[in-house]
Amino acid sequence: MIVPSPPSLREFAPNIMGEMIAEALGAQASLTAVDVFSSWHEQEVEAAKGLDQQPHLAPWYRDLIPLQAPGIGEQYAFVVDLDRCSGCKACVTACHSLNGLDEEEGESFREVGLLLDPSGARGQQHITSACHHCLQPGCADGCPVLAYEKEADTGVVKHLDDQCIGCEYCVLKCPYDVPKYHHGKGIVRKCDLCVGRLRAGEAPACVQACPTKAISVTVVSTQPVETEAVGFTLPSAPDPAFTRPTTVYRSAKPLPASMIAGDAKSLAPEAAHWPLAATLVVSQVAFGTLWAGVAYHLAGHLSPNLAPHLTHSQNLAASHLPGTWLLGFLPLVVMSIALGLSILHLGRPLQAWKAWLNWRKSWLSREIIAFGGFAACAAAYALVGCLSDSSWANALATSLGNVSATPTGASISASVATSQPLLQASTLVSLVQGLPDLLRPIVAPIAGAAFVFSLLGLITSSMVYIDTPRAFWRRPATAWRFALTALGTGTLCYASLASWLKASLGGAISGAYPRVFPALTHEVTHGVTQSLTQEAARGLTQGVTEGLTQGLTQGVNSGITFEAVAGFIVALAIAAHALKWFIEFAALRHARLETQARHSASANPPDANAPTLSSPALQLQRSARILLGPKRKVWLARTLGGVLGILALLVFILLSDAAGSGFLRPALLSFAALSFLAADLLERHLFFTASASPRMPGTL
Amino acid sequence: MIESLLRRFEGPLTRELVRAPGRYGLGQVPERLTPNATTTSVCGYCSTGCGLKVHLRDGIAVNLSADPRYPVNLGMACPKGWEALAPLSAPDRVVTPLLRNAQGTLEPADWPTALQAFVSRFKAIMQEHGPESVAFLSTGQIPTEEMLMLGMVWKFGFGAIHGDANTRQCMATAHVAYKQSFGFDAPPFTYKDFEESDVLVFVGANPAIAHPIMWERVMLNPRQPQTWVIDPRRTETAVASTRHLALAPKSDLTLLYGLAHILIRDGALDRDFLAAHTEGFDEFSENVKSFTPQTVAEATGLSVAEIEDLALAIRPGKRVSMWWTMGVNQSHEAVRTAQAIIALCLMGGHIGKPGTGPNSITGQANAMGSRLFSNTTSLLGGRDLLNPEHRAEVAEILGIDVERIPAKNTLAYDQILDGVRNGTIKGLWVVATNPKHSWVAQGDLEKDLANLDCLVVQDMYASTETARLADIVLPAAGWGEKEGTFINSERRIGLLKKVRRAPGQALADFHIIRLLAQAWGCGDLVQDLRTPEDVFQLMRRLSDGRPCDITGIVGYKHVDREGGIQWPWPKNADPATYAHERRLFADGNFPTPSGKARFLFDAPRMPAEMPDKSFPFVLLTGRGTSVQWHTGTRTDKSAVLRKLYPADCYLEIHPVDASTLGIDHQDWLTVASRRGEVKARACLTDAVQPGQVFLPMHYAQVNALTHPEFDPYSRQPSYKHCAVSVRKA
Repeated sequence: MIVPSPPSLREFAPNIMGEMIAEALGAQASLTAVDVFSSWHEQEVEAAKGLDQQPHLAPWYRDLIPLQAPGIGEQYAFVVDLDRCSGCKACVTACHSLNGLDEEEGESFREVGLLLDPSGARGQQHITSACHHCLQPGCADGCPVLAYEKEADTGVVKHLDDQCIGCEYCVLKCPYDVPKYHHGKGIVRKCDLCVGRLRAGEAPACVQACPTKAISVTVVSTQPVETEAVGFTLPSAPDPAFTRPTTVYRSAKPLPASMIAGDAKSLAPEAAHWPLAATLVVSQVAFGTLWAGVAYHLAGHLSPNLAPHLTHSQNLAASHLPGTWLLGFLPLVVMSIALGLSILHLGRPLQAWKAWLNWRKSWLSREIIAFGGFAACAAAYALVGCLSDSSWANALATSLGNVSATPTGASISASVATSQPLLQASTLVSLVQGLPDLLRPIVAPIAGAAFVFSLLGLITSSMVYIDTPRAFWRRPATAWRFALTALGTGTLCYASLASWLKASLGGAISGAYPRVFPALTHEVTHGVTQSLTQEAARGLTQGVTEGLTQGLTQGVNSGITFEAVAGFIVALAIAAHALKWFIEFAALRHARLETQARHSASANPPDANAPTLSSPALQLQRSARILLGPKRKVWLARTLGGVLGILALLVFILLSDAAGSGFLRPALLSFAALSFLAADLLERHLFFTASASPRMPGTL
Repeated sequence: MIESLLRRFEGPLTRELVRAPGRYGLGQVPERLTPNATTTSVCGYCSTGCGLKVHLRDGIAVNLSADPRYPVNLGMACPKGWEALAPLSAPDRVVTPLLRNAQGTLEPADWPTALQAFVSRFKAIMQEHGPESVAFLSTGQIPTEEMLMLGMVWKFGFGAIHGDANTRQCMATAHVAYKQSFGFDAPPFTYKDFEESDVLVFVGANPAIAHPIMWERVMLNPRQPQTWVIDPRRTETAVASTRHLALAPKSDLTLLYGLAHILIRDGALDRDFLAAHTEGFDEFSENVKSFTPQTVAEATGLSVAEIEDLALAIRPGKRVSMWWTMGVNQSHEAVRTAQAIIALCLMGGHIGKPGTGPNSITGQANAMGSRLFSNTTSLLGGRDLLNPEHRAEVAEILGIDVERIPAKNTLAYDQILDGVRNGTIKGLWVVATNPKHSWVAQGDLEKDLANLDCLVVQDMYASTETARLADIVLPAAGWGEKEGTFINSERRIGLLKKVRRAPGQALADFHIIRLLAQAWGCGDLVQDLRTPEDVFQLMRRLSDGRPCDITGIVGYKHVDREGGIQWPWPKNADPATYAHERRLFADGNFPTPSGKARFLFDAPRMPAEMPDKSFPFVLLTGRGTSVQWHTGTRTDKSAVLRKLYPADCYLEIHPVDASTLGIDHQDWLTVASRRGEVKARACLTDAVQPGQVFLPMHYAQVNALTHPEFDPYSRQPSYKHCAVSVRKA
């Protein structure tokens, strides 16, 4: 119904209306509570001046907190009397309000979940829980920057907000979903058992607010024997063995093991952590590129210095690819990308440098150290691999010699004494010429170290996830996923780049590779000795251009050996990726438990004593159901990526005899590498989103 | 060593959560929210009427906690109370009046324009179609003073007849039941009775979830009481109680008559009390003769032993209290069911003594205020519009011509909406309620409301299902932004205070009604009522000599200082005898003409819609969680509360039924009744019995299913019984 436009204000509203409206708005804006009721509240203000004034609620909670602080070998712990908890959830809101937690995020350090009883024996039960202030806190063990402190005197697991870098590893480590990431602040925050209140003789917010006195605080021994009451077993709650939680749940009416959490069948995916997923994949690709490089090297193709079975002269004579220096940089470049991505994951990236601090306990710290070690080795490998090649040194020496009008490096020393200006140059020449021989012996150890760090990187990366309470991650499959990404995708990336270089160079002429550096160094040296004239710039450009052009046009001697290495890598990549896909596929089998459970339920009436799935089994089931449910399309896309990659590689193999296929074969390799890369990124997305976490029972 | 040097124990992020002594008896509070004054305000959600301690900084609320010194809640609050400030800061508050323009969209207008639009539209409708062509639907959520202003201005100023409130949906039954049985709508109890009973019987009540602070008081009972729950569902209260009788839905009247039968059979009666203070017992006794344990067991699905056990528990001798709420009130034979509870208490003499009483737990914060002073079904002060003496009294107190008081009762809520549907009601003014969500059996209500000549919605939010249909939206200040009083379940008058500024041009309903009266041309009615406390003084005068006499209450400061005051508190009462907790009828005198309480009886009958082959399940409805309030217009605004209730509507279904239908926990389902179908997620729980399903009322779609059946006396809808089918979506 449309309201007809009303008559004008003046016509309708005589002055009195205007005045009344103004008066009403004025009265509405005045806040009178304090003024009007001041006589009564002044008494309270007066009373408030007494510094030792007892909180008005103290008599209510006096019996709900310990009389004395914990002694040696003791700590504070929450106690929940389930028979008194009615599920009103006042504890959650009181924690929020009395601790000044974030409004917009609805932040609270306490949660209330629900257990339902399909057996009909018990009825529903609400479960209130906060941090369990564990004896072996997973959060503290996992935190890479030591942002958790288990207080020695109280046992409270305290989070140091200003130390936190927002990596959220504690979120993955806690079986109870206790630490919560605050997006606005970029850190995690959690319950401190209101320890400041306890020290002041006050009760924690939740204890103060429970209308039925279901929550209290007690002192427990930190050396519990198995039968003691510390810790708890609740249906559908995580295994206390992980972290030894201290909360004591009591009930005179036992909770049947068949009870299920309100959110038991929720298929809400877990956090995707894209930067983290990408970091994992890219770092593993970096490891794979190193492995492939070493494989080529060992076959004597890309860096003769690394083929120990060949003599120096054999190395020199051996064919090698131009641009090897470029490929030598690949592990470093890829690892740098991975480290950059890992920074994107952090809530407070500027604090990232602290991440090694907890190397004694945290696999995340160890992973970061391993990655750092790998990056350093990869850098050294790239540089030393280049610098240890004699051909550039010879070329450099030649150009230095040219400058000093000395035809060969050998005679430089002779002219040293006579020509003062040449003294520097000739010393340089000898140094330069000696450097490759100096460096050559350390190339292999550096490559070896890089290789060791790549393995450490894989092990620590795997352990970061295996060492969590998530069943989906706590398995060898995690290590396999990671290793096979390196083995399949990483090596293939290297091979495809190598293949591009080879294909673009066409012919097979030895010695092209060294020409790049000599030309460059020659011109640079020349430029320097010309006192930085314009020649330098020109020379530099010319040198680079010439070197590259020559290299590209001259090509390499593409022996069968190169193809064999490429073929080996392709075969490896197919096998690795197929195996990896199968391992991922195998995780889907856990979805079937569901059907079995339902069949047994329909065959017999619900039974209180019916055997129930273990918590890990339920987690694996939820993971599989997330993969087949909300994440089905991602799973299919991931499979498609794998299939396309493998198909491309099969075509590559079929074409191996067709000489002169030009850019088709490198294109196939690149397509396959990109397909595998995309498939691995999607797989890692699923790795995170389907990693059903153990947790306290949740609501519907 | 180096590790310890690199760890930061202090800093800006750490400081954000530092707690400091709050003073004012608060204990530690967040340092950044430390108050420099506090005040107490009664909560604005349910009828428990908790005292909330508002933490003020320079007069503005920055935080709140439960008030340890308020006699109702003793320092506790439910989540809604803890989050009472959150809805005030919601981004969708309506901040100016809105008028629907020619394009059909709501656009901002100023107050003069909006007032004029209201007045001109309603005057035009009433001139053309008469005083019975308009109606208001108000609420149990606004202070008594505002209810009084609304009902008085509407009937005595505008000359309209019909106005009802959403209290029809919650308390009409208790109102009528008490009125018929006791002669006045007078819940006899005080909350202390929860703590002083030996036997507590909850009939259709789930205080653990719906009234957590009343459950607090039960849990404080030191007498190790027996608690009995009569409810088809195994609610939280049932789980926590000594005994739960999971009777067939809507068989409670039969059960209660069966209990009366056993007590009479066994002679377990307080005969002295019956003789001295009741009437109609012999007839009642005759009527319940046929309710033998065996027949009752068959009708209720309970065992004879269960019924006999309960009858034994409520015999005279112990302190027995019986408590009911919506399970009884929302029924097709609600009033008689409530009166059967009253009858059982009268038979055992369980009234007027500590720990006794047939006690109605009220729903909304100010349902009780509405029942006494809203000038809707009763004339001001719990009087009768049809009684000429009552009309004369009120006319004299108000100083108006008695002819201005209509000698005609209002239509009930359902009849008003029938009028909307069939076109006899053409203008509707909706104040602080949301019928588009809450009214039973929605049907075409949306279309009907849109077809009105004029629909005015006065609310805090223009986003409610009803406000979205409005032609005129008047922006209202909410709880915490205005003053006034509420009357809670135990008849306690509590004060609410202005601790926040209303956004934009939003005004308290008090101001809006006052402005409308002036704009209408009946400003004389409100001329002397300049503040809510002026209206409170008028309430005192109106209560003089009535059972709800509050003439002894001096004013707001008195209420504030005492932590709320229960009515009656007449002017001649001795302050020395004042107690924080007082109950009625200790002397056995009831405000009926004979001074005696009445026994009333009707034969039980089946609900109109029973399950059949096509719709094989009985659909029960009710409160879902303690964090949700009715249609969620306010509780949905708090991020904390939103985390504490399921985002999706859910259907509780027994695992055996679910198994038969191939339904797994959390599957999406289609629930259909003869009137509509809705989507909900399965919740497999033994809280419901096989053949029954349950939907929480907080999800708007639920009332697409419910059945429009009403109690004949209270005209309260029977929300809790209709037939539905369930299948996987």
